[in-house]
Amino acid sequence: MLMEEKFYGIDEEQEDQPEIVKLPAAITDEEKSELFKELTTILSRRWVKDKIFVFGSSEIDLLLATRFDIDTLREIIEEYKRFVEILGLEVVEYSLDNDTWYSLKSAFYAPSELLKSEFIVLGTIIGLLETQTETLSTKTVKEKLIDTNRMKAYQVDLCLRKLTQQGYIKRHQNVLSYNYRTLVEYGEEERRKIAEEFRKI
Amino acid sequence: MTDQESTNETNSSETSMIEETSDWSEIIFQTLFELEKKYSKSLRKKEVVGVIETENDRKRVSDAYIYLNSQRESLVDSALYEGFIDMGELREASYLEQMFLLEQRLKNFGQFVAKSCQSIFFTMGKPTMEYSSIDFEAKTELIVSEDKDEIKLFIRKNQDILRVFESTFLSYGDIMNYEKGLFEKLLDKKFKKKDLEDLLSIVETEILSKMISEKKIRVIQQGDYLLFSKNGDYEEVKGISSSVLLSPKKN
Repeated sequence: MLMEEKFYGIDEEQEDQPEIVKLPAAITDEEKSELFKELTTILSRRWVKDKIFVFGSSEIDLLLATRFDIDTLREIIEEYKRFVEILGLEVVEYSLDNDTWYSLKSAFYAPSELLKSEFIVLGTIIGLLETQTETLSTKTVKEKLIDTNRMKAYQVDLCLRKLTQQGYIKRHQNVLSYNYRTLVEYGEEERRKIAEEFRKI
Repeated sequence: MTDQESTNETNSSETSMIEETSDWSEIIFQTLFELEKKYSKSLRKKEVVGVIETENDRKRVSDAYIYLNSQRESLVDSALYEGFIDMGELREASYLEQMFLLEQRLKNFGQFVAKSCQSIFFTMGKPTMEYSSIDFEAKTELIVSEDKDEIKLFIRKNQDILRVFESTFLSYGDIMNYEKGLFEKLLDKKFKKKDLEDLLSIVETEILSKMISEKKIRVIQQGDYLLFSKNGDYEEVKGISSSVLLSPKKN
């Protein structure tokens, strides 16, 4: 039975809640190292959410798990960012259904899951989305790749399905748009360069 | 003609020459400037200017250095020549690219996209860590299907769980009646979950669930109480949606 919960009598409830742990005074170096280990574990995980892959952890889950207040959590993540930088990793923030998510990104190199044909389809989508102002339909991508005998129809369909599942693109009523992962893995400059290369082919 | 007059004439011819040179130098600088802009723009956009066009442009400014006076003008001249060189390189690269087969160009494009990717770092595989309580173990009873007595005993033991519900088919009118009854029972009243379980039958609970999902009635949780009200503006209530499981006592 669905219903809405209104926050009445929050003050009374707060008394029963466990005390919020404050950082940095309340946390020792040993505890911090333990926390960093756990953060690495959770931020390098892959999950399936609404049939697409998501990486890392949402801010709300981290808050619930650590019982920190928001400022403390962000402070700890800032410190963790400096810690993983030495390992050639970056902590990235991305937005998913209005929630902030944190995950790890390679600063130099990490093997990608995508095949060459999937990179071609993704590059085509980036090239088209960066250059045209109107919405991009699946038909346009297919026209670009199939009608010129560059790829087979089933190949493009397969690639689009995998790119959607992997969180690179969103398909809504055959209109394609970027999903969080393209924006995380390809910066503005990279997308511009891909669009330039796309123009050549 | 006096000496004075002759000197004046020489001066005026010199002045007109200087003026002419300065006009010419102005035109040359203008040409240099426009060509420099044209080539830098084309290079930025990676647009190839044809060989003949470049050669004509080069001829137009080949003698420009004679008329250049200031350092600023010389700098524009050198920038233009650099543009010519870069355009030559771009043209060669583009010719070489065109020699590739379409498939090869596509493959190279795929490689470029792959190289530009700064991939998310993650570990693959299913979680191997236990996160449920170790004390909890689902108890299962094994029954040998041949042993009829044991099956009978099992059914008797779990009679409450195994009870078969009779399917109730409700007409539209029945549903309307139930909905009307529920409005009368619940509207603008507060109930504890336990009281509600005593008050409602299984069918009524199902209908209530349907009414809530259709937004015919609104329920707000206030501490232990559930407050029922007529459907209003959902935006005005800020909170989180949650579910309440009711186990009605009445059939």
